[in-house]
Amino acid sequence: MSFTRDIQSEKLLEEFKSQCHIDQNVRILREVEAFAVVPINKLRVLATLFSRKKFVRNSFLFRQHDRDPHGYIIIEGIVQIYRHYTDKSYMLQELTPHDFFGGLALFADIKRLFSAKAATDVTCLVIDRETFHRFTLNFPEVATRVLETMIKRVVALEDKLLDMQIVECRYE
Amino acid sequence: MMAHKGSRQEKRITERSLTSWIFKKYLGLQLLLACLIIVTIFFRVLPLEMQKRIINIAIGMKSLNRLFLYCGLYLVSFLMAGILKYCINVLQNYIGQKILYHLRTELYDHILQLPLNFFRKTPPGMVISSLTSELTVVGEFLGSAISTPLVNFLTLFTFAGYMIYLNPLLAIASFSVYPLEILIIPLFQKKYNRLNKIRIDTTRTLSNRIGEAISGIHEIHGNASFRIEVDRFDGVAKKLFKIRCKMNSTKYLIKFTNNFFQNMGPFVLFIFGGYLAIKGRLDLGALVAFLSAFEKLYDPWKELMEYYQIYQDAKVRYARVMSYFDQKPPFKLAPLDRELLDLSGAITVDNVAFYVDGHPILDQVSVSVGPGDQLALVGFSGSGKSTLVMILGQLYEYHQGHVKFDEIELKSLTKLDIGRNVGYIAQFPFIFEGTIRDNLLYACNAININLNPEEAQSYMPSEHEILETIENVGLGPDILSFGLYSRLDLCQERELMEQVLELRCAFLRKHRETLSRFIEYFEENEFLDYCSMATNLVFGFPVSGKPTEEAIAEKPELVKILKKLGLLMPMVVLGRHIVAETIELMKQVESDEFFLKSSPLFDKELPYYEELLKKYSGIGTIKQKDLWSFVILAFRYNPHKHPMVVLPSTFKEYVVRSRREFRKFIESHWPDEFQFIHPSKYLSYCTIFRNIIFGTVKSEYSGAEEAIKGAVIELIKKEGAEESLISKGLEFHVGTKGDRLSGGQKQKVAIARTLLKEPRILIMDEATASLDNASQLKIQQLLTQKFKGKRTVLSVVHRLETVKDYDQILVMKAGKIVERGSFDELMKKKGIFYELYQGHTV
Repeated sequence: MSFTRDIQSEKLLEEFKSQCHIDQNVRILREVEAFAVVPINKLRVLATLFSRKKFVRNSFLFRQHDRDPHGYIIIEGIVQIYRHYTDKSYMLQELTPHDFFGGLALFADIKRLFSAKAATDVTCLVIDRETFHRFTLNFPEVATRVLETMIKRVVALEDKLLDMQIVECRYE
Repeated sequence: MMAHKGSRQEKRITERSLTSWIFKKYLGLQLLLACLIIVTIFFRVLPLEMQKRIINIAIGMKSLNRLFLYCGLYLVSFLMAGILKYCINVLQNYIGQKILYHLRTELYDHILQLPLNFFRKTPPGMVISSLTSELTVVGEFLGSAISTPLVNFLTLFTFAGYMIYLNPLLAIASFSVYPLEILIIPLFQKKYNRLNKIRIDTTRTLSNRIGEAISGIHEIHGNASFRIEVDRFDGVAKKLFKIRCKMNSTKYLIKFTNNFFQNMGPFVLFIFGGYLAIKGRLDLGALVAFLSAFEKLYDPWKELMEYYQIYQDAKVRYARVMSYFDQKPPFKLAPLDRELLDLSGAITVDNVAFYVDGHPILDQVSVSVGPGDQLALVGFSGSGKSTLVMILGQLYEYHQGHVKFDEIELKSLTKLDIGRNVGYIAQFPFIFEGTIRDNLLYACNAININLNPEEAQSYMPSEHEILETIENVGLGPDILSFGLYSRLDLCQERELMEQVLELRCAFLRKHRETLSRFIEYFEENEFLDYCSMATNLVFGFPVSGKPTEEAIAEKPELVKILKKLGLLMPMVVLGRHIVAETIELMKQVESDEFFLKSSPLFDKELPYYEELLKKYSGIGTIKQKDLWSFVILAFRYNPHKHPMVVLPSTFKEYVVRSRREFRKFIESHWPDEFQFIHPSKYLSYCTIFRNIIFGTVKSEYSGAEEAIKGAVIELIKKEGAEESLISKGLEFHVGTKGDRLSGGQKQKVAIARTLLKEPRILIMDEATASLDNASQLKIQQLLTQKFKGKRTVLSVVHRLETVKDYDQILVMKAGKIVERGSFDELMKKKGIFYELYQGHTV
């Protein structure tokens, strides 16, 4: 028996290569600001560590105060971010494909500051803290980069919330 | 009420002497042993006489007949001596081990009954080494305790007698060395014994160190304190090393002395006997017999010396071990002169005090509880609440004052009286290895094992009672879940299997469409993305319970059918592609095996496949064996688990189309090894849950599992299959220390375990602390609604919102009761309880 001599096998191999999920994941990761700077060979490793998760419309990816240890990148669909108060909730943001969120939980065991809800059927790339930690042990510079993005994100959110409170104070 | 089996011995095991064990049991066997020994002696002496006769009579008289006769007798006698020696050894070993077995079990029984504070100070390592290795020598000694001295003294005296019979003068001269030896050796032995005592203590320290390090392994890893621990260990190990060296040196010194004196004998013989022979006062045959006899003296003498050493060693070890455990159990196990009591539940505590190292933990505490009353104990940590309830559960012995159950002093009640009437639930209960059912029945069995079989039967809870109790403590859903995720034993559980198949029909009828998003059903004409390639090809599972890919990897004959179906080359290409991708990935992460989870390759196979890939990097012929290695990987490939490779849809279609042929091949070659998927067949390989949903949960859907499980449980309840599935769940194995259960589940099991024995008095020491609010509320309702007025409840309470329902509340502080009364009284009083309660609810 011999290898790759027949056209069929060659074709099959080509097909394997072109359809690889990992490559799709790499393409998505490259679109994400936090991961865009990671060299392509390392990105391939990271891409194997993400799994795909699907969320039905109106279900929650996580709720405020949950201890959910995942980071999410949207592949398909829309996710809405809510902050709940005792008597009301605010929608803070609407996230679309290639948005990365929930990344703080990749660094520490924290309670969620907000809820994330699937506004449509949503498909995400998901990674958990333990896995991400193993990855950063091998590639520490990626952690720094992701952390930077996360801090910017938190600051922006805080800014928005502070603005809202001021508005409330003025009119109440 | 009931009679109990067995009675206690008068003398405590730790007070008995080592020698008392020798005559305790198997006197008949010991007697048989002695008889065998006496017969052996005869066969031991006979060859000597034959030796003499062969030389003096047969050779001297040149008689061939006599030569044959004596040689024959010589042969028979040493053969007999050998066989008898074998029998003696076997018998001796049997007796020794049997006595050791009794000694061990009785000592273990005694140790378990020692008070709790003994175990606080005693590391488990020491108990283990005492009961195992230290006692081994004792057993060895006990077996030979009678036979060895008997056989050797007898042999010694017989040979000595024979020698005296041959030549008294010569005999006495050659014996003259022994008295000296008897004086010297005990001196060395004394030193050896002293060292041996130190050795036992050092070994004990060493095992304690190991035990401590292993129980604290989290802390050691957390602090990376390996060096500290190794150094600590090293100190003791070094000491042990020195003592061992000294001990062995002493032992060899004893050996040397022994040998020296032993060789002195022949020396005397040669000089004196030689002289007599030359002078013609001793014939040559007698001298040869004499020399042989003297040589034969050596063996029994040596054995006696060894026996002496073993005896000394065993004595020292026995005394040491017994001294460790020489305490009186604080309470009697079972009453001797009456039956077990049925208590009413009334408790009076009168001026009770309890000390630890002179400090009062409880100080003049007095409480009175009527039958069926419910009492809550509240207070700061360290205030003595737990100690008080542990005293009431006979876990501690009070030092002053009186505790009375129905006017009977607690100290005079036996352990079994308490076991029957009092249920104690700890904050962190212990769950034993075994099934949930074993654990639930543990407390009941503990009582029943002491009863006659007929009485025991009536105290065993019925299946209905078990189910009711499980429901009461909120364990129902957990156990149902265990049942759902277990596999059926088809030979024994046919009825449940039928039930599951009915559930499958009902489930598919109702949910096939609605849940299709979350479930990949087993469809014969679809490729299964959540199953391995092997399962996809076979469209079934091995009967053996192994994963399909493993089972068919052992069948290289499958190459034929793969080839015939045109699947062989694609499978090889798939396998090789998997290897290439995995190796590419692993290069990036320096072979951290964690990253292998997205690949079907195992860590230890990497080097092999890396070689293989190198070998077949270009075009060339491939060997059958290597080809199969690639196919094995392709079998393992599971599209969902291994996203590093995506199968083209044409490949999937091809696999689906090949199923029928593949199945035919398997059926003809291994007719009984596989079970094929069919909507009306139960799949023994899969869990009950998977059998009901007849497919695989699409785990990529968040919440899919919960949604399906919810639907399944609803169906189970509707179809009335709940009871049989809970029964199945009761057979779930909880693992060592119950570590397959969550903290809350363990606690619920412990509560159910105690409730099942229906104790008149229920003691709960923060027993609901690790439960969620809902479960806690459920148990609280059980106490206050169902048990009110029926069972006396004493509860150490940590969550004050439950405290309202109790008849009486005691507030404790620093070992004293500082407030008492009903909830309303205490709130009105605005004292310590009021403040605690306010602080708690804010």
